[in-house]
Amino acid sequence: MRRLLLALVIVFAGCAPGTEMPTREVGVAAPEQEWRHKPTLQDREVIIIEAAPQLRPLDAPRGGSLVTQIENKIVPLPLKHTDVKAQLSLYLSSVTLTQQYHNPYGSKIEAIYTFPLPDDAGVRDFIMQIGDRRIRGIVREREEARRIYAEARRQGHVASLLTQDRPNIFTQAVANIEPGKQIDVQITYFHTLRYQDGIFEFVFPMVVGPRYTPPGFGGTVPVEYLPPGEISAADIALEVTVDGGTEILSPTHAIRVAGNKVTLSPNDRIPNRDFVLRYKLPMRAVLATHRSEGGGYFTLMIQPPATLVDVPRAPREMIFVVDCSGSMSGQPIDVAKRALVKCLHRLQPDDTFRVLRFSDHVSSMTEGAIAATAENVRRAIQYAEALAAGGGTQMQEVVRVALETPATPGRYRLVTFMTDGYIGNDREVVAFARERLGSARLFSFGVGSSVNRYLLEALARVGRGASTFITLDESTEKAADDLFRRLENPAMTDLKIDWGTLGVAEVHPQPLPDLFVGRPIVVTGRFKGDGPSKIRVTGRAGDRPVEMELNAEEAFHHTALPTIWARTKIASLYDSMFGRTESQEQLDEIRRVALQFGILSDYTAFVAVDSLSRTEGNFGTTVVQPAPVPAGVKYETTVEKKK
Amino acid sequence: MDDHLDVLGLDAVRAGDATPEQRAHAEQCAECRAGVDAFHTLAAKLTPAPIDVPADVRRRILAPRRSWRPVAAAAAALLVGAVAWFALRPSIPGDVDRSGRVDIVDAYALAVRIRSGQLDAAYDFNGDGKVDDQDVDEIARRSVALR
Amino acid sequence: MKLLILVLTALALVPEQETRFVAIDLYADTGGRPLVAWQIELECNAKIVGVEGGEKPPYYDPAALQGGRIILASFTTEPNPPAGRVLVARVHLQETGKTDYTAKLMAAASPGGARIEPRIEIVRAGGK
Repeated sequence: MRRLLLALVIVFAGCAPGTEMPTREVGVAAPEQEWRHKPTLQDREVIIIEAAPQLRPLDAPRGGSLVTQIENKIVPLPLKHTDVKAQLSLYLSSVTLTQQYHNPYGSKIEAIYTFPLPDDAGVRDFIMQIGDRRIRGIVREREEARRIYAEARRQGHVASLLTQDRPNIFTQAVANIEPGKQIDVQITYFHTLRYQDGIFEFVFPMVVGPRYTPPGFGGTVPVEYLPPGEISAADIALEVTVDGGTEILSPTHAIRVAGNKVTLSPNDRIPNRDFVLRYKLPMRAVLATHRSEGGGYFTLMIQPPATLVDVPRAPREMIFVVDCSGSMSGQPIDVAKRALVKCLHRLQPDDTFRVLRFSDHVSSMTEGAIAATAENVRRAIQYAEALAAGGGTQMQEVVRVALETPATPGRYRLVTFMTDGYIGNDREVVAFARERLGSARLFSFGVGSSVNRYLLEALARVGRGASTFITLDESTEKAADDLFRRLENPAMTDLKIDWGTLGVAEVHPQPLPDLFVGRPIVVTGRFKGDGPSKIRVTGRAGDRPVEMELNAEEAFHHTALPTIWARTKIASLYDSMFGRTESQEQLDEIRRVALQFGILSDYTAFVAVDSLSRTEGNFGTTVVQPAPVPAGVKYETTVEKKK
Repeated sequence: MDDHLDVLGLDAVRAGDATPEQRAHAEQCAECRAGVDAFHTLAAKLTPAPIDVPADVRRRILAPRRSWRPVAAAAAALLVGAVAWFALRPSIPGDVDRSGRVDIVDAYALAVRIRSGQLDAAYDFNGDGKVDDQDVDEIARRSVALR
Repeated sequence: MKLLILVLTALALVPEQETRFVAIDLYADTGGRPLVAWQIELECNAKIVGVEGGEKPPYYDPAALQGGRIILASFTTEPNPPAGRVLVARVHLQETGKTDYTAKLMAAASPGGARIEPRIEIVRAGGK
């Protein structure tokens, strides 16, 4: 077997693998089929199958719902169904996601599926189910896990590999699924919920948006999309158990609410937009703890003091940056424009402002910032209303231009990015922004049904600002309101926390974020002391010192805390090192923490191998599960343009 | 943190040099008051002797409150106290079946007790104020943790 | 003709010695008494690539997987626990060359919590 492969290497060594994006079709039973697996990000190993085994003409579809026939184009796909069960406990969330893979073809396949998870998700459990048997996967160093998987696949074993390609993009590979068989993969992860103005928000992302990758940037985001006219039968069932709450609603999906259980309505199960759930619940305990033998872990939610709105604000320079790339074409750009106009209306006469737009290139209404006189604002509104979308997304360039706007001393510079975040070089842009930040603050305004929340949260995080999100069916008024409240009022900065008797160490995120009106923060750490006590938070707002005492005597328990702590620590380490010369020490520390806590990260992966199921023949055909293009995004201006 | 007083706490109340929290608890808790009375009785019968505090009792003192000093009648008092109190709660945190160590059988034992309604605050190993399967989970995890 | 690309890395990294995937089955022989809880220490110099067993897979410390020593444990409160020679767990391994493994009983119980000492046996399954 090895000799055959060796021979193939020699024969084909001459054909250098290109870096072009290969095109392929899924499952169409045409003559001369060849299958290509797109290289995954950071993956030097490119995989293909040897001399194209022909897929036998499709057998009669197994189970009526597995294939869909649309205008003679049968689209069979390996992902049959996704099941999501979420359990919410105040601001902590535990989610178990089960993906059912099956083989509707006549010969063995490997299924590959790239999907999103919340960008702060800590993935702790991974179980591969074959029939009745449940095999728990193991976290290993990433390259080692890949090697194990590749070898298991080569030898015909059923195996699965889960890797994290980007902070919010993951790839699941399942090897050697025999015809007619089904393999389930179950993942459990934890994360925290957004909480503002008394309302909790739970987000389950469903699809990765098509990312623009600037020329010269090495990595690609490996997602296949279904062209218009094709739908996949893969549907999703979702059940969320909330911790109490009223006014339970979803701005994105039709839901059914029974007691404290929320489920997706049966006619709204196509996974082409993020699921957002909101409910009102007063916060009754801000401290969560988990004690174990090695010490305790905690998370603490810190709410901004009510008095922030009373602090007088200093003159501001507001820079608005609008993404006018192809992916924003249609609904997203309309929403962004409306929000921008609302913000322009709210400018005060002593503010200055600038409006920038970008796609393949950057352009601006003015050379620098101008005073918010009635005339200037009127011109700006005209400019905004005339914006149109199309082309690539050169985000790094607009970050440079925005931050290099000639500064006026004594003014606070606030830069707001209105975008869907669909870029492949998101980490690089964030590192770039952090390096050029100076004293500016960055805010993000995410527009769309499935925005790249990682980019939007990270920009706000490194920019000591805040993020706001709006889906396509919501009122722009409220979202623009939320955004402007954070821009308008000063933040509480320079936070210091006095933990009392709690014996606290290793608090993350580092450094502590600022507190904005209506937007609490969550910090996590380890503790040794007796238990909750009085916690004092001090800082500044404008020129004034501010002090708050938190009632942390009521604490609730959650088993997710060690995972959340480890994940937050890894994010802090990663934020601080990326873009700079990668510090080997920090990389090793990330790997060490991930291995110790058994969680997924950039440097660790989950692998599971069933030694007992040895399948015959070569390792089959790789089938990449395509995703629907996110709702509101046009296939023609995004995916198609790349081909 | 256990609300009930441990052996030393009871004796401190008896001797009159307990902390305000201990005194307040003893005032409200009939069980602990009975324990204090028992110590009063013993103290009256025994002569002073130096004491050796068992390691597991010492560990249950959460913070050093005052310097240790010999207490009259402590040796026998501890023996009686031990019998009385250890009958009601495990000596090692997590050692539900009192085998002397914490292992999976303790997780099983706790799971069985929970299902039969036998709840005791001492079984709240994860400190969340409830005794449930999460505490069972906690014991199981401790059993398999490598040192 | 489109290009074919090959598994270069796999070839480069697979050691000359064949690796193979095997499973070791851990049996606890209780001599007829029902088994409700078990805890076994396993030492092995092969790489663990999966842990299998029962309704819910056994407990273990993820940090242990990087080394050669792991403790596995599980219990059940189901009404009819197994008895006799019980397969308690199956550990999937990637072996290169010869592997040594030993399993030691740490604790076990029958219903009611009475401690028992079943005999622990390792049986290899799978492999070439």
